[in-house]
Amino acid sequence: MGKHKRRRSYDSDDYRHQRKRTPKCETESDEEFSFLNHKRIFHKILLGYNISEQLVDDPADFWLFLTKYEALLKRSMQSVLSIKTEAPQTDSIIPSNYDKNYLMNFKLKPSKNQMTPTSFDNEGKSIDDKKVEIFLTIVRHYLDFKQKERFKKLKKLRKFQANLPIAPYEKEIVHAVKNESILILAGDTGCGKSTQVCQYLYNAGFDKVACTQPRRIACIGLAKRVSHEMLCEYESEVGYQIRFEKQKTKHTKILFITEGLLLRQLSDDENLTQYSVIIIDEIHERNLYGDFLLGICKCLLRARPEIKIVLMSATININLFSNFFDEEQAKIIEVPGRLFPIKLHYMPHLKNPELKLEAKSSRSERLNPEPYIQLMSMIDKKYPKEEKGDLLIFLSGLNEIQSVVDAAKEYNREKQNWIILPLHSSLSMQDQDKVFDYAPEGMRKCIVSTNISETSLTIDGIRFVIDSGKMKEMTYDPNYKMQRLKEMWISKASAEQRKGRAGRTGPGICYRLYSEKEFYELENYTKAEIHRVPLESLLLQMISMGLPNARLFPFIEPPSIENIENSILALKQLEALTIDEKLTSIGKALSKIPVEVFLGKMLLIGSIFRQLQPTLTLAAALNVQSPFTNRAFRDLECEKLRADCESTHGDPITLINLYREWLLVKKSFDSRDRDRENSRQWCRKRGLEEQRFYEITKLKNQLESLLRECQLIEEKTDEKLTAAERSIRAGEKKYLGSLKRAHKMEAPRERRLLKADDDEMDDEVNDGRIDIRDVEFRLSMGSKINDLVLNATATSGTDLIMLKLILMSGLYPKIAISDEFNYLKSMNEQFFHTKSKPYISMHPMSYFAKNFQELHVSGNEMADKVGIYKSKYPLSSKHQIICYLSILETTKPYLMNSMRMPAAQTLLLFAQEIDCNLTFSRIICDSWLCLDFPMPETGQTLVARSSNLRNRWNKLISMKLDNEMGCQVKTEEFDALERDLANFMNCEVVYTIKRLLPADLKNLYKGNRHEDCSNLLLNQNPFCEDFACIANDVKGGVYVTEHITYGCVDETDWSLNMAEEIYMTEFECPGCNMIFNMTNIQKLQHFHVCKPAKNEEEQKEFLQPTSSNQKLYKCSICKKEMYMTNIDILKHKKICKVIKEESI
Amino acid sequence: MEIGESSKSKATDEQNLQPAEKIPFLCRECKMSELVHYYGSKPPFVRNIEFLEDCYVMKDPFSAPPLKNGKRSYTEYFLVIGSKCKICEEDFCKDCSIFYSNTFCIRCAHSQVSQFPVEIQSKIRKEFLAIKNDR
Repeated sequence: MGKHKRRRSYDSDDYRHQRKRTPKCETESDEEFSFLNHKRIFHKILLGYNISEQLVDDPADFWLFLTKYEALLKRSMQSVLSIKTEAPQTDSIIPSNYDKNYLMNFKLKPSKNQMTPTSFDNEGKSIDDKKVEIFLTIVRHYLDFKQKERFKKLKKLRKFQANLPIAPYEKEIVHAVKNESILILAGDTGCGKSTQVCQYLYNAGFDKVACTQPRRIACIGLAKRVSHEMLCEYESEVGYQIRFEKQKTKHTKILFITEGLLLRQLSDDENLTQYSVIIIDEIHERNLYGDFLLGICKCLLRARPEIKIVLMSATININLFSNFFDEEQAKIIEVPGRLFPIKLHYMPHLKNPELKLEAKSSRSERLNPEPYIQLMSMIDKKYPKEEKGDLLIFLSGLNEIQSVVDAAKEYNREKQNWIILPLHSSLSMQDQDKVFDYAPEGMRKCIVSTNISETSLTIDGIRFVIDSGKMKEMTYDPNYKMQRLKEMWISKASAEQRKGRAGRTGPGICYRLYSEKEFYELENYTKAEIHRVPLESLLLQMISMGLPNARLFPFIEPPSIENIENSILALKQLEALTIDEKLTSIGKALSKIPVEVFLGKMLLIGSIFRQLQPTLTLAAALNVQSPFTNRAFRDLECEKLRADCESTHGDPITLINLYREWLLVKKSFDSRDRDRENSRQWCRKRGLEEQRFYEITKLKNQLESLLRECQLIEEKTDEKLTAAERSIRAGEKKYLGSLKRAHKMEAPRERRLLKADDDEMDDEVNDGRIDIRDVEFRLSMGSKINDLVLNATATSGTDLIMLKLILMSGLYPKIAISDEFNYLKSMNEQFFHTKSKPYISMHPMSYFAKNFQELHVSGNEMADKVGIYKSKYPLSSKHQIICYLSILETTKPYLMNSMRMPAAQTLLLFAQEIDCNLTFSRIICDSWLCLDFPMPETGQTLVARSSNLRNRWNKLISMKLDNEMGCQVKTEEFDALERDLANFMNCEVVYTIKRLLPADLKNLYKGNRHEDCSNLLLNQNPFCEDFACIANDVKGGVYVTEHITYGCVDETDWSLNMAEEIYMTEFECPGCNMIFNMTNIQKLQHFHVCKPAKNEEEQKEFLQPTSSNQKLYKCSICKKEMYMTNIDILKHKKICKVIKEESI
Repeated sequence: MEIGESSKSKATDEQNLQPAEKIPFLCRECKMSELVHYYGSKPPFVRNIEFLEDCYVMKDPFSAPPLKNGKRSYTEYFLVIGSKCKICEEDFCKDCSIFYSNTFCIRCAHSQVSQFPVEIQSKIRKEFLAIKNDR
């Protein structure tokens, strides 16, 4: 793969040169005759009149052959016209005379038209039949030559396969699979297990073979390689199936599939009956799904004893796997790898100067590149330039790579014999591909890489490896719900893997920048992924697959109970699980959406609340890798160009703005207009990786169809197109389809020769190759692109508020609050706190990192002092909280993907516990944020409004999910709710917000002080009619809704003052115009009762008594009988009279 | 996590046609074993060419099939794996046999080497030695 295009044995002569020398005179003698002088006419013969008459694949290649052929004859003083065209007939089976024509096993049978050309050549001379015959004989020689080349190619392929280290084990492997249920096959990289085992099994008669891979790219690559070896590259016996693509027909016998996808198939087909053999590759990587699959295998073997399982691993930690399958008596076969000898040098001393130099300022985070440069210079001195071999340096992370790359470039400035290439996952695809290209003669590549090239990427031609011994590993802290990217020592297994990279194509050398002692102190193996990630999605998937208790699942190394319990709790908070860990209807829907659960929840809510398209964009954008390349924030020009897409609301909104802008560029781009910027260039200028936008588009479509499958959104209505539009679209589709086919037949990107003075750029030369991603994009989008642009982002204010609320519904409780002193401090000293983790910084790539003032309450947003209320915290209606996607700890903890939200409103809508005092002037949300509302009744109104909105919100969700689309929820209800939500989010109420520490909480609650709360039990609950108030035994007070506890927070002097003021102030009900002295809660209750009267036109009739002071009243005017209080009666009389007068 | 059930297979009709039964080929000498598409002298998938004897032919596995409106020639779309030795009538691959008006396996050719024109005798001897050494 990726080989040189083989040099043909005959192409050494330059035929153009040759042709010039050939005299092109009128009197061309037979000795001097050359077909090249009559190329036009013979070319016609070569091509025939249509493709079925064409004699060769590549006419240019043929003419090269012919040139060489004529030159050869010329050298032996022969005329091309003297060659024999046909061997004489003979009776003996072995002709005794020598004739080259006897060596060819076929004859040409061109059509008659071709044999008798009617046209004349340039000079008006006709071509005689003899010359045509000679020409065809040369074609025959050419075809024979090509045939032999093809045969050689096949033989070489077979020889390569036979020489693989695994080849001698074929019989043993087949025998084991036939006779045992489970086989563990251990073999090192390069032994051929991934490509050969499935072929062995297929050849032995197994025809439903699935082979899992951890990475999508490996599925595609292996399917291609295996189909090549099985000579069915252009058929479908070998297929693959990955997240976005499926190459599989009913004839597919071997399927490469990602682990995640196989797991998904389990929920439809719990015993995977569609496969007879399941091969699980790379189990030593110990990634989440691989580990999960191992447990599943154990279960499968019990349910389907006839199934065959093959586990393939590197030769590390085999005992772990064999012990796990002890009961099943797994057969073990070990295949030695094929590595050339590697010399190992421990060089800890190289690190010492660093210590001396930076003894004091050891806080400096920059890695000292000196040892790496010293080794490069040593290689230069010790190994002659002519000896090929590249260098691979393993470093822990991006910054380290940057500093070594910088220093190496500096070093190379004089030497000019290195090509320095960084390699990490945030590079663009193009830049990543460069590491596979060749260095020019006399130069070496120096690839400076993360552990991406330890297993995921295999680069041939490496002779030197420098191992820093360090890596960055992402771990997950379930307590803080925080991801941590930490530099740490690698494991012994990794160190060996890194070393092995030097010996793949020849003997190599590995330098370890640590001591042998340090090596022996390393951990044996790298920590399995299951111990490093949140488990919500996995657990939800397990429960939906019918594995209700994750605590009992046979994990090869069970995750910590803490992580399991925390994840289950999070699922409950998302309302995906009930208290007793059963799947809810939200949970059921979520388990079908293959994104992280909180994004799934967002999608659910988004589709219910008619914000489908922007939510899809958002979910997709947050689920793929960030589109920002590492240049995006270093290059001022990039930043400037992106500025108009930035949203003051925060990063998620910026992301969908960028996507929308990209769509616009795509839409307006016209491939015929060369000056117009295409989307690739647009992205590059802004430091964006275009691939991510394609991924977003694809994922978006996938998610949409999944939601449709879950019946969360309606079936697509037919596109409303006119006949003309349809035919244009059909033509366009046909054209794009042909481009796509053409691309498929195009050779894959070939390895190129690297330029010595490579400095960046210049990849943008449009080399005429088809941008297949663009074609596919247009093929799948078509006229939909317009809708896409329109719907990609929220445009109006209400839509934006809805979108933010939808995102919030998935993210809560991932919220943070600014530190109270932030307003005094500079950009780099801004801190934020979450409930469990104080002092977090804003990620430097976030919008709020630079625009940190957006989160401050400015002077003119501050409200005046109210009454006797005193607080050191600012009183304002503009407090914001930050919701975030994740916390990532690198050098320090950072909030990632942040968005701002109005604080009080958001908390009241989403908090699980809302604890209030008697006047609702002090509200504590989720036991960590305390809101004080010093203006009388403002807190109360806000709580009342929020609880009303929450009720309606939940009602609509459950209607939509439970009624399975049967009954349509009225759009008016949505409209009204959206309008009310928008008003609520925008309403201005002044308050202070304060973060509480666990110690503060002790003094703030009434608690269980045996104080009589019975007076608080509202017999008429103004918050939720059908919710019966119950006492909260822990905090005191009473629950008035599921989330709100009333009267559990202790009063303060100002709140008592307020209560009195409320009661003393005469209150004129705007509904009934009566004047009362009421407490705040009485007022709420009154509003509730009075509510119908507020709207004077449509007065509701009180047909049944709802309170003891109502009495039956018969109106003399409207003749109706009603139960009313005295006040209501008076009011009614008044209105009735008016109506009567009007109607008269 | 992965999606996939919903993504529709875009297999063309061609891919969905039942592939014709393939014919096994086994070289007596080197044990090269392949499945071929055709045995005979006029493979239906090749045009403008006729073989001078019956041989084991497969469609060129290394290039895409020619298309009506494509650029690839139907003439080159083949790969001959081997044929029967005219003398012993066993199957041999192209490497283990020589074609000179007919196919002869190297062993048979060697046994009759003097019957061949001198121009190819040395080649027969050389290949025979190579086979012997392989054993």
